[in-house]
Amino acid sequence: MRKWTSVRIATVVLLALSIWQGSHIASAASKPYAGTTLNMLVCCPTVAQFVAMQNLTNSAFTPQTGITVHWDTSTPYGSIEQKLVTTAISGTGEYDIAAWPDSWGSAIKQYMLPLDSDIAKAKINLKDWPKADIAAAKTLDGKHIVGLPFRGHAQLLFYRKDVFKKLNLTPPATWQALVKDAQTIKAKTSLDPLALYYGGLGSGQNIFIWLNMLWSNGGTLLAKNGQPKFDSPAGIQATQMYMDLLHKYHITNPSALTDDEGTSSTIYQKGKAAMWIGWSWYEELYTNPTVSAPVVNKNTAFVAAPGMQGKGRAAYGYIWESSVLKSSKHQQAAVAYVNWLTSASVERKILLNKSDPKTSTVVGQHLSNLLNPQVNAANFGVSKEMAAILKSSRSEPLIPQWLKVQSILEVDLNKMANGANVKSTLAQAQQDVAAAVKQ
Amino acid sequence: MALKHERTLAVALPNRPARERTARRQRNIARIILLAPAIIVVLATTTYPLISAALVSLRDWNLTYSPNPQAWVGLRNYSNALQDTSFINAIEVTLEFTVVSVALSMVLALAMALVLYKPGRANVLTRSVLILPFAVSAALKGYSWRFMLDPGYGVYSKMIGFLFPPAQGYLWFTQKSWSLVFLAMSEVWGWAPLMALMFIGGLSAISPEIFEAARVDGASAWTVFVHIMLPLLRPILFVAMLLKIIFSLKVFDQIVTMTGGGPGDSTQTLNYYVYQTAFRDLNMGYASALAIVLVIVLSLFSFVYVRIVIGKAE
Repeated sequence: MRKWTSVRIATVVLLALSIWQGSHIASAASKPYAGTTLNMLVCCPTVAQFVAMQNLTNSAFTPQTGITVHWDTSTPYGSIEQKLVTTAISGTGEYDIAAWPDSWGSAIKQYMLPLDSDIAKAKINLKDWPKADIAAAKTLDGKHIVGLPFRGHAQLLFYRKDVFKKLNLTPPATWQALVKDAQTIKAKTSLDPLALYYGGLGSGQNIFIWLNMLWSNGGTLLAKNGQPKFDSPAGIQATQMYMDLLHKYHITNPSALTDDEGTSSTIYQKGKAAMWIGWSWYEELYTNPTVSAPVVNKNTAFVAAPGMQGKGRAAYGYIWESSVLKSSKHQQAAVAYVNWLTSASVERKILLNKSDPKTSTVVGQHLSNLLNPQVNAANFGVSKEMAAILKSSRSEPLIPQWLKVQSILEVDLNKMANGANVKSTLAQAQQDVAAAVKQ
Repeated sequence: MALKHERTLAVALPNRPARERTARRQRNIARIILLAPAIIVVLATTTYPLISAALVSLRDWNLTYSPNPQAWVGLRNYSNALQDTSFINAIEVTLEFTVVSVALSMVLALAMALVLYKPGRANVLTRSVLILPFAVSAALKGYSWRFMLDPGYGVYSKMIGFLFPPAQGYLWFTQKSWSLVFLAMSEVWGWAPLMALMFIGGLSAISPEIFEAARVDGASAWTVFVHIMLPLLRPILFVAMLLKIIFSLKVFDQIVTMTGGGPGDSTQTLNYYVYQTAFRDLNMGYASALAIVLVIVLSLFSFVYVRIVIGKAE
């Protein structure tokens, strides 16, 4: 009897041990990178999408994988370009993952890990992103993908529907129509008709509106051979239009000359302007009652940014990619995180979560999400507008010399806004860009 | 006893030079040990980067294409600088800024010193508060001045608008001249009080008998100032001016935070242009050449400054 009892006890102990061992092995298999800490370099601590992503990482990804991810958002947008470049080049391994806007990436793509085999292994559907998103993620020779899109914006015109309704105006589809609407607003209200920005030196923000006008007018920044081609009749006309909004029509806010994108948006946000043109993510600020004036909060509507009369709109997108740095000491864990972070399901969860204004975001990139009725219902319909624009959008040129070209253009656009002659300044800018590209 | 003493001397005398040599050697070793940490720090943080930058300035190196320096190009980066209109513009802007900020700082500091150098409780209190603006970081100064000159909510902008109604809501940073003036003002705001303290020290060192004698001889206040105070203050004025020139030539923080080099590139100083070339254009070879040019200019002023200061000390 005692013998049988001992056998029974031994069997139970063995069973328990094997279960414990089995679960341990299973856990090790399902959490191969448990205990790893990843560092991610990105800007802007208060961006709702980033806060939401961090929260979801902590609540879902870390328990699921055992990987802890530290988001370093301490660098402001204006300085992230330098931080990215120095981080990528120094290769210290301090960061495992970096997020970067499309045109800046060309200077640092050589320091990013190719993801082709991991994308194939994880069966990631690249067609669920707009073509421009994937083009921006490719190396300069187009052979490898070194990033996955996780943030992107379309250029929109935000306007006060209460003002437009009161003045019987329709949201403008062209710049010429915008001028007419703005003149009416100027004559009949105390609002600045259009909050705009010609400043933003250092981050190339005054290029955004100019590029819209240039492309819409049939102009080209760089020709297929890589040479600048914006000093053309179409380019001069578009540039003149950009400057005329300020100097000829006087429809912008007075401080437009020195304002950057964020400052001019604040003017609209505070209810002092009737229109603002910028990236789609600003919708989440204008609909956030804690940061926008109630009148803006209740009355903001949007349409695609206007185009030049008779020429159609220019679809202009701004895409952020996330990449694994070659210098990372935890490359596979970082790849697993980037795959998870940029997945359609994570994006959808974030897009549908409207529980907290701090994490409520309209930013999505997967076409399946942007066209999803539930997502659109939760995001004021901005998603389908973004999808329509991003499907055929283009980005700033993906050339390694872009940072230099951007410096030249932003300074010369600012000079023209400050009164320099458009024709001669544009000609000089083209010469300087040609020299930079040649270099 | 006498014999013992003689024997001691006889033993000691031949060893004396040797003992002195040993003591001298020990003193030298102690000096080296004491100086070593400072020398190591200077070598690591100044000499090595300087030599490294000088070598990089002779090479072709753009970080976009390579993480390592490429071919030796001799003085090409330096000759390119001579044809670079942005570099020439940066030199002009730097000189303009230096002249304006040095002149304003000197004049204001001297005026403050003349008011405050006499003893008195209020003067002593004011003097101790004077150092505070200098303690504010340059970047913060830039942000503050930009904020205060904003046409919408800036306190300076409102004050100027109140005093001169036509200037109401004026965008000060859209004109090169005003941008430079306010950049210089932000610099003067911090520097003039410090320089005033230096001048107060100089004025306090002048014997009161000299002033009394001048007054007895019927000299006016202006005569005393021009013919007594200024000549006696000249060494301090010169040192303060040199120091201010050196700091003005390398101005950077306020440019970033106040104007971003604008409007256009009209407030882009040499130091800011070096930064732009290195960290936006990623052209390390060329940026190093520009930095070396700046170092040479600064070294000239620093050399004169050090000669004067050491000369005075000796």
